[in-house]
Amino acid sequence: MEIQATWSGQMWVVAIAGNLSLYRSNSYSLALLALADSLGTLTVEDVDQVLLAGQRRQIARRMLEQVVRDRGLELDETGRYVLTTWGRASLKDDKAAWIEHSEGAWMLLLGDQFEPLFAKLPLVPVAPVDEKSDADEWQGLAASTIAAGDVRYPGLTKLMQELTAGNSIDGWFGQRREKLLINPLSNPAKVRARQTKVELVAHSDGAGGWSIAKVDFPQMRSLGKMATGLKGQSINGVKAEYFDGRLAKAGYRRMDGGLYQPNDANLESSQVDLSTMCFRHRLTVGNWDVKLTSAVGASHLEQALDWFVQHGLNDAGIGTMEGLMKQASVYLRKAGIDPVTLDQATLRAAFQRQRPLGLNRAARSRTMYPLYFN
Amino acid sequence: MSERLELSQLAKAEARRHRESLLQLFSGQPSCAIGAFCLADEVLVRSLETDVLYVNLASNNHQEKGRLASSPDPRHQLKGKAQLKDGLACDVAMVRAFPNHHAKYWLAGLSELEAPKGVLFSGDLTPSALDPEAPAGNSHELMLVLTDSEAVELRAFVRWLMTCRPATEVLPKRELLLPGSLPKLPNFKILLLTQPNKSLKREVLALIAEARNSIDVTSWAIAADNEVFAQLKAAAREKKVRLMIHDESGNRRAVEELSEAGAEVRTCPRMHAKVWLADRDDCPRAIVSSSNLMADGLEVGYELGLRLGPMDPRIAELKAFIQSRENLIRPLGALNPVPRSVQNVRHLPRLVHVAPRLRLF
Repeated sequence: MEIQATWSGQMWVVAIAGNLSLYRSNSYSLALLALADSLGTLTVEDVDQVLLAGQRRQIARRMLEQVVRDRGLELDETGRYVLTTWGRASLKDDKAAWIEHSEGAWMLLLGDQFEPLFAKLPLVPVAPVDEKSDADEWQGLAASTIAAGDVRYPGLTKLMQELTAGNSIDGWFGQRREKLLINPLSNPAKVRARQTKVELVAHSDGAGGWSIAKVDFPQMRSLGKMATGLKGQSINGVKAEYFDGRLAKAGYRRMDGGLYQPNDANLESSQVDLSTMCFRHRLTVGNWDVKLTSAVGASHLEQALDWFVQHGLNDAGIGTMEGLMKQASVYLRKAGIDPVTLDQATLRAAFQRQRPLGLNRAARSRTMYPLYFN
Repeated sequence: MSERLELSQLAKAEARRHRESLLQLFSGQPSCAIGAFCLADEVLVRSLETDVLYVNLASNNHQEKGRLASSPDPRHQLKGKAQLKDGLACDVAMVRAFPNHHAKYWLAGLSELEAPKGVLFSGDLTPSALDPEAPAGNSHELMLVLTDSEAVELRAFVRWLMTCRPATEVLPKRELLLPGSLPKLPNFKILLLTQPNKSLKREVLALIAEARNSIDVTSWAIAADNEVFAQLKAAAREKKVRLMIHDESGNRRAVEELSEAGAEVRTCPRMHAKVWLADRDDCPRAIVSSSNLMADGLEVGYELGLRLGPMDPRIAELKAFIQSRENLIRPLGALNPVPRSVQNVRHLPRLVHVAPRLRLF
């Protein structure tokens, strides 16, 4: 099944002020973690002496403070720096660490409204807030309320819980995919939110994988960078079976093998193309406008052969009976019918029942030549 | 009204009737095959409403001057293979061409599951045969609706013909030569053929021999190059032989010979039907065929014929066909033989020009 789904509507964008850190390998953070691991505890002097030749005490202090903000180290009761659990794990796992990027206000696009087709965006798009534009559009949200759980903003609730717990998020930032840490500047965090118009197009093959083909933010130009990052992203979402109930109501019954049997009314409609053995159906799910294209199946051999005669013949020059049987077998397989029981008499009978509609008379005469002259 | 004008109007009325009859008989049929020597009237074929259509023609080059000189239609109107590739074969019919194909037939019901319906029609797919508004006028053609058993045999003939090789498949924008040889001929009890068993010639010879009082012959072309002509000439000395022949210089020498032997000759412009009618006033028998009275038709080509017995109701149609024209045409007196003088040297280029046609029919 091919699915093209378009979401359009107002979507929440949240903004939070905080320090944003990026995950980088081979940074000074790694050196500090390694030093702390080696010495057990760490002081500013240790860092200054070992890494900065005793000449850069202020720099040593700032380096340590950054690693504390990134939760790699923490101060113990004696005023010395020790590895946190997370810092130890970070050192052990991939020898990478966090570095501070910038302090500011950050917009995050929440994808929780894309349900029911998929739960959220694979990457949270993050961009600096452009404070000069649309300041009136933003409204404050009580972070404590959100952190406690607010059914109105399930995505935001989850995000704030992640950030508060010191967890990183997968984001799209600065035109690339990044693991991001955002430490809110205030406790509880100050969160502002606004709605903006979004149009998002996603594709799926019906096996549960979705990819975003296009995103537009017509009201917020500053979100344009997010759109670039979202395009092409893969998401896990619903499978073809999700639509079966609606398709059944619309007259398409699911068969074994993922084919759909159209009812008579659909067979007569332009939505079913029996030359390509596909049908198209459009439906609405929440804010999603969904266009489905899937394979048509026949209920029995006679029906499939009737379709073949009417719509499935190809102009393959002067036909032979073997060639015609082969064409019919290919068509039957596409229709979900095993051609093992097909014989010439059955095929000839189908040509007696039905008139070929798809080819002009010259092509039809050549194709049907073996029926008369073989 | 002059005789010629009356003849022309007769041909025109029959062209209209033939066109209407053929369209009425074959439109709406699931499958149809048409055999002819040449094609010029694409409109007629397009207007025929069938699911599938097979058109079998002669693969000889229609633009050949000698060949075209023998057609009732202007040369420029006939469709060569190049024009068929761009026209008829693209969207109207499957077209196949055979060397020396001259059989003329219309057949519906090609599959065993359909009841066959057949017609022997002396005309080609041309305006002269089937368009009453043809600017150049109409040819005199004969249409014979076949009985059920004859149609079944015609279907067997068409099926056999489709396996005959060599042949040329005329496809959209290209052609494909199908090499090979003639397949085994089915056992035909009714239809008469030239290729490959020459049963048509045998039956014509028998008809001439069996005729007690008279023999009526109509033809487009005649030549003294074959056994049938020799026997007809011999019969003319003993029996009443009436010949109605298209008025063309190429026929003149053979006509002279028959006339000298005692045959009553009438020239009928554009006479294209080929009929042999024996003893028309008493126990008439007939053969209707596509073959001219020439070696090409009686010895070489793909030709079709049908013998009609004295009780066959279609005999009356043949008699009416001949007599309606006979009444309008006076027989020629004994033709003056062409003087063998130096004056005739000036006709030499024309004779050379016509010569190839004499071999082809």
